[in-house]
Amino acid sequence: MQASIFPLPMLFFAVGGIHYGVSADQVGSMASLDQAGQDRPLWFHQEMGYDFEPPYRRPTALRVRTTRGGLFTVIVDDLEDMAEVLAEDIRPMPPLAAPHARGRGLWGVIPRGERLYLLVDFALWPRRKAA
Amino acid sequence: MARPQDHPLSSREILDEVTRAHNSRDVVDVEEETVKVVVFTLGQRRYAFPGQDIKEILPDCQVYPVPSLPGYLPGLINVRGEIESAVDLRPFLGGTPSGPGRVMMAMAQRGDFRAGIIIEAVEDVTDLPKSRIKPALATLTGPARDLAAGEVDLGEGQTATLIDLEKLAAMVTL
Repeated sequence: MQASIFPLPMLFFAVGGIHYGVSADQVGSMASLDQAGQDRPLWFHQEMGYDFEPPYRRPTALRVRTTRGGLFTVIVDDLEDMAEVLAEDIRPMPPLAAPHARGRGLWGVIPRGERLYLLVDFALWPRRKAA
Repeated sequence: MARPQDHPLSSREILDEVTRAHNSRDVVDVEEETVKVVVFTLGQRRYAFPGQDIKEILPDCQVYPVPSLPGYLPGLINVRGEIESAVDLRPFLGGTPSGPGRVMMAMAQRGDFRAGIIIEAVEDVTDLPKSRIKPALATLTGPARDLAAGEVDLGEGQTATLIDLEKLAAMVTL
């Protein structure tokens, strides 16, 4: 019998006042922006198609692991916490929004207190898929 | 006040009158099929939904933004733990979308389509004879005409454009 992936550790952060969660399994390491390394980082808001330029107050470089064993860097903001979530904590993206959101790697939602956290899968980002 | 009759009004006479009034109303009910409508305002205009399509009104609902959604989908809402899409009709009706924030929401459902639709205020929830629903105004153009199921005569010269949820679903579903 296959072991359950839950409870699943997730990393929570915010960019431009919108809250997100990503499976901690996708993140190899974290560093401050000045220690991001030599490769050209991706800015989270650009990959997500924001229609405004959000200020980054506490930028953090996430080293993201790809399924092919590579790494790339994503700059996010306002790292909040890492927490384990259960399957019942996760809601699917509603049908009307899902086709639009999936193109940006958004696949689910977690309500936490007064906030909604959009769940992002970096492997679904168009540039990653093309790589 | 005394009535100009030779005997005081009996309870039997009152009851007979009450019965006649009730019977008269019953006759009207049978003859005129009614339809419930939820009348609301948006962008300083009056619209209506068929009552059967509206499950509840959420007077103060937070819309959470989601990047890359089209203007008619300003984000998501949390309805007692269930996550639903918010729909803004204004891009179809010639207005400017409001974006995320706290809004009044009509929770709409027909078939598989379910969403919160942003409204500004509920004016009335009422039963009207079906004959008060007229064809959509010829002056409606563009997407507004595509969304309209008809024009509701609210009386006293007031009207509201009846929104067809099935047509809306077809426009916003990929």
